[in-house]
Amino acid sequence: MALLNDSTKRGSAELSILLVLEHQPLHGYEIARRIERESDGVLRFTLASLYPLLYRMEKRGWAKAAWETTESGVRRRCYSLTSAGLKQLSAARREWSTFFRAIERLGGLSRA
Amino acid sequence: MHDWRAIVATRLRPLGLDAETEADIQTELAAHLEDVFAAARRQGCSDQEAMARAFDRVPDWTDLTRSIATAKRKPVKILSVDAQTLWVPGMASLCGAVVVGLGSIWLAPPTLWLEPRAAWTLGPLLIGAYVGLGALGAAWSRHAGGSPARRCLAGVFPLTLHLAIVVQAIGAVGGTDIHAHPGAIGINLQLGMVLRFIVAPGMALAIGTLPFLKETSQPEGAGSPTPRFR
Repeated sequence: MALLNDSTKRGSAELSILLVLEHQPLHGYEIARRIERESDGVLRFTLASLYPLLYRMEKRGWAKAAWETTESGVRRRCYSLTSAGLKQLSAARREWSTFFRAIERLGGLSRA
Repeated sequence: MHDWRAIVATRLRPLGLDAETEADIQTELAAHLEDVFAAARRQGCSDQEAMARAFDRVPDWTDLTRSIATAKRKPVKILSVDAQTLWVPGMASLCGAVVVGLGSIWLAPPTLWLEPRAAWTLGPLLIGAYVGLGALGAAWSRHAGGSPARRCLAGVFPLTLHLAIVVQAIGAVGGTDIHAHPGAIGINLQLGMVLRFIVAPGMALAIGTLPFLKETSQPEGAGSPTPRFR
């Protein structure tokens, strides 16, 4: 699948992370892996796009992080959504739905 | 077996954060790269190919350093939280009240103040202005992240000026006219002053704050970031 251009992806990274964290806590690699896999490779994170975003979400109180040690002794920092993060996800869902409905009404998506 | 912690430590520039936070970030990034490497090896990549795939996740270490440092850095606050959420919005509302008061004295014709029905002319205008000032203080405080209590206090802040004036006036009336006026008139005068200069403007200010006392759905100033995808 062709990669989307930067302007189309702008702002969607935050929503992507909120979506994959909705049901369970995940560490950075797993967040990036799931987003890439479930978007068929359209959405891919570098470390420079993923971690600053996670740190900002943590700072805003949308996500909280906790260190966990795996059975093999490797430390992982797992992120989970707070109630503020869940509220933000709900708001983001509404905004994106409104946006895509507006584009659809213009006939922009059905002809793609 | 690669030492990913050392690899990250040598490439990531100092972030200007405390040592523990920097160490945690290095550990977190190293774990991520190690996972990418391990996944590539499981898929049959050679050691060199797996390393390349891991490093592919960090096209620019300087950019990574800068992005993380910016995200982690605490915002420099010139004003304290109290000043941002209470004193500044409250003073703005108070200054507005001073402007409204002086403006009404300067702009209204002097004869209007002698007119018994002046209250009917100026009253609604002043009350309306005070509703606006209450809204100004509360909205400003909410924008700065103030709690509902602080928003309310910022909105009704101009009452401090009214209280100062009324207390002085009541003191003057009570001290000088105790024999010249019957007690009942003095009490009525003081009651009238309290009603006109404290209760009425106080209620107007409080009404103005009401729309801004509800919690917002998300923190103020939290805009959507613009991450760089590959």
